[in-house]
Amino acid sequence: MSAIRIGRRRVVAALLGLLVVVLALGIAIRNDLQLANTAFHELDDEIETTLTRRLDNLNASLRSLSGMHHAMTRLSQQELSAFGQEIGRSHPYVRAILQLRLVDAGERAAYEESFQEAGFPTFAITANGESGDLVPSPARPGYMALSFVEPLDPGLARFLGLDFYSRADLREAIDQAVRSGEISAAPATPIGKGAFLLLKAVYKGFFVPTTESERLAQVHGVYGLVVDVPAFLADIGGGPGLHLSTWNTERPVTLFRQPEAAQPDWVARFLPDQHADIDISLDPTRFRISIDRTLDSRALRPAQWMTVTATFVGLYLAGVLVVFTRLRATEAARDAKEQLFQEKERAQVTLQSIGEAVITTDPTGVVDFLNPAAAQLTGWGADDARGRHLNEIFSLVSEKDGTGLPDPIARALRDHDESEAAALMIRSDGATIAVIENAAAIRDSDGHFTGAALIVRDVSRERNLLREMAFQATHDPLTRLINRRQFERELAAVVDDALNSDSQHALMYIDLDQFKAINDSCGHMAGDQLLKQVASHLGENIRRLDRLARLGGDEFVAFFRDVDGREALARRSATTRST
Amino acid sequence: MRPGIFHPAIQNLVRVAGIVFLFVAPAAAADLPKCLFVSSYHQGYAWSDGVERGLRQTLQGKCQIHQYDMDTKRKKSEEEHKAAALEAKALIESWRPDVVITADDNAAKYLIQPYYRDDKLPFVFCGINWTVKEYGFPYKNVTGMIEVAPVKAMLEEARGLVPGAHKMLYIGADTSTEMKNAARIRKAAEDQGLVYEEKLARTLDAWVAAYQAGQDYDFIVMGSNAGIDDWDTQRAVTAIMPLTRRLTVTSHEWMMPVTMLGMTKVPEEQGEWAGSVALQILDGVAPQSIPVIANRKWDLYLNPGLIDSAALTLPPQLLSKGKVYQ
Repeated sequence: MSAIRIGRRRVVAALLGLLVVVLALGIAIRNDLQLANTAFHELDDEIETTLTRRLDNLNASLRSLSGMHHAMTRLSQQELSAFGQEIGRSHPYVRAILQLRLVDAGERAAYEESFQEAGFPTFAITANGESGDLVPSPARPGYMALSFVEPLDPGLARFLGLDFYSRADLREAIDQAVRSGEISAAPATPIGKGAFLLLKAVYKGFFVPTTESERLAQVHGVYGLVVDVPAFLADIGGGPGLHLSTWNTERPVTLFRQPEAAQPDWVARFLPDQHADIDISLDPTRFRISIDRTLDSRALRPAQWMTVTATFVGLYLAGVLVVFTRLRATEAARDAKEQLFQEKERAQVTLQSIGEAVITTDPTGVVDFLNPAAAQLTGWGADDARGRHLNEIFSLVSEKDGTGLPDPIARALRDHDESEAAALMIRSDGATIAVIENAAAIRDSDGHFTGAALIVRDVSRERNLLREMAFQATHDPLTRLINRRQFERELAAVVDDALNSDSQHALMYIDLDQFKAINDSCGHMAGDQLLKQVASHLGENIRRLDRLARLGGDEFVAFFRDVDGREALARRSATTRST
Repeated sequence: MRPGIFHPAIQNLVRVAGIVFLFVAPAAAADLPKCLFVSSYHQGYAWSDGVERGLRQTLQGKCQIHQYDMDTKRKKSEEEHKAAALEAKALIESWRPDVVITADDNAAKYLIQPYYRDDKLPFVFCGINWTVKEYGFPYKNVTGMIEVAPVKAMLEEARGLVPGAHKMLYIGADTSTEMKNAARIRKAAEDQGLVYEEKLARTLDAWVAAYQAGQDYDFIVMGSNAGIDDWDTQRAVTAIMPLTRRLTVTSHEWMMPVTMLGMTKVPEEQGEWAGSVALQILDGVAPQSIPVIANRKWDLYLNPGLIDSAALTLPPQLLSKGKVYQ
């Protein structure tokens, strides 16, 4: 049963251990995920702060450009270049500064020629993109030709003359910039990938017209900043999964989308996706940076998990050890108690059922227990006897001479814990019972004397039986006179006594005449009755120190101690006469 | 190093490393593409030196640069120019460059146009004055940067500084380049309603005489002195100081010792552009896909000594803006 219980307990402990491992791993992983999530959101904040600042910088740069354009009567390319270089130096993410010049359809040839004359022999307004529309319609103000780019490098110079208005995706942003007088955004598709455009219109005159219709009528062109996305996101840990949108109108436009991250490793497949939207406003244009990414598996720290798990498991094992130890101790105590109880029960039953009287006392001899046999033997009820001194219950005297015997408890101590003696118990009511008592000291585990156990066996019956058997062996059963064997044993002793001393003794032989006739005529019963009467009469007439025996049949014999011949004759006469 | 301070084995190792370096370094350079720079003029000529400086700064470490100077400022005859072009051609054929960069008109005129029109060998020109029409550029294999001066701005500035100005004189060397410049300035002046006259000199005395004559005009535009054989800047300065009464302007930085106000081109811009385009071509970009463009940088210089000697008063914003020519 215990083995089953221990086995079951081990299974439970193992399952709990497994649960602890799972729990610890769960806690460690959850902790890592929370840290990664926190880091992700901290990154959000960092991205928002940094990108807001950078967009503000771009806004300020573009407004400065616009302001300079409006403030100056004539703004040469040289001056624009100087200003643009400073913007580029201040903001490394500005890939280029553009000037789109509004060219009316009727001015196209003259405009191209002016560029050609100025050292751009191949300059021409060209279309690009989806529509390829180079014919201004009533819906468009004219061409929006790229007339300036800073820095002027071979890669960008090829776009000089490009009509940005010929692209549908740019037309909306240009219209928005022109109509609102504010900043609008668009993909920088014509210029290159990985970039977006911020646009701001400039107008004729020194000030931006206040009404939309006036702005449409007085538009001079558009300035643009080409923002390089990798540089724009540099130093902010943007990483893959970034997606920038803008709302020039109600319809969101994707400005760029970071390439998807490399195929995540197998661990990352089980990790939660993270998403955040960061809204930044350059009034009236809104930007949204969406971050979609899978948690980087490098955020997970298996070594940390192992440490946490090992700590938990260690604590668990320590706890299990303590619990098991306590359980085992408790069980051992319980088993011991149970065993003790059973032993006690067994002892109680035994004590209740055995014939011997068992009495236990404390070291001072005060009774604390009597079994039923003891109660019967002593005549004391168990409850009445408890608390009384043993001497009040009974006393012991020598069987031989009736002298008092020493206290059995003291004797047990003296006789090394256990002693046995035959005695006569004298009960408190005066009754005497032959007993054999056995006294034993009770000691604790340290050997200290804590009491005594007294076992008393009633031997009166055995004594009586022995006495009867001895009587029968030495006496005639009919007349209860000593028999021939006893007579001869005593006679021999007397003879020895006479031979060794100067004493005289007399022997008288008695034979009943005609006893056979009585037997034959009156029967054996009558004969036996006669013999008993004879024996009785003979016995009545002899001294106490004389002996009368039946030798057999109708023969009796008596001897008289310490008598001479005369006295012997006198004793004969007295004896026979009475018969 | 004291003898015996290192173990002989280490000394041997150092020697071996040195020998390996001597072989490896040129081999590494030999892996770079070849860029031949053909200058129309000569080293020591300020403009050409600036172009070369910008070019070398851009190409440094990215290609092997070999330079050939045609020296056509000092060699004035047509035959000498053609001979120089043939030498350059011979060099091209022997060295076999991946791209050729040329500076200024004569390289275009005597080398590219006659021998390399639509050739497989790509050319990048720079420093060609005002227009490439006369050379028929661009070819399929040719692109580059035209050199323009901020003539319009310069004339407008001069007119602004001399109220009521309506007559101007252009002074320069008597060279084809200066004639080309003069033609441009003439057009710009006439566009602005100015009466334009020019004096092109072959000697310093002629140039000083022209300068003296210019004092009868509202202002003088100083062309390049390149081509005046006996030019001596100190002599020129000494000669003009007592004569100066009129505003002088120029677009050439090296003319600032004898000019009050400079709106000067930046030769390095030409070299930098040519270098950038050459690198693009070496990366596989077709020359014809790169447009021919003009320079747009210029800087503002003042010569306070001359301004003071003429007792001219310039606007404070101009005085504070212009660089003082040292």
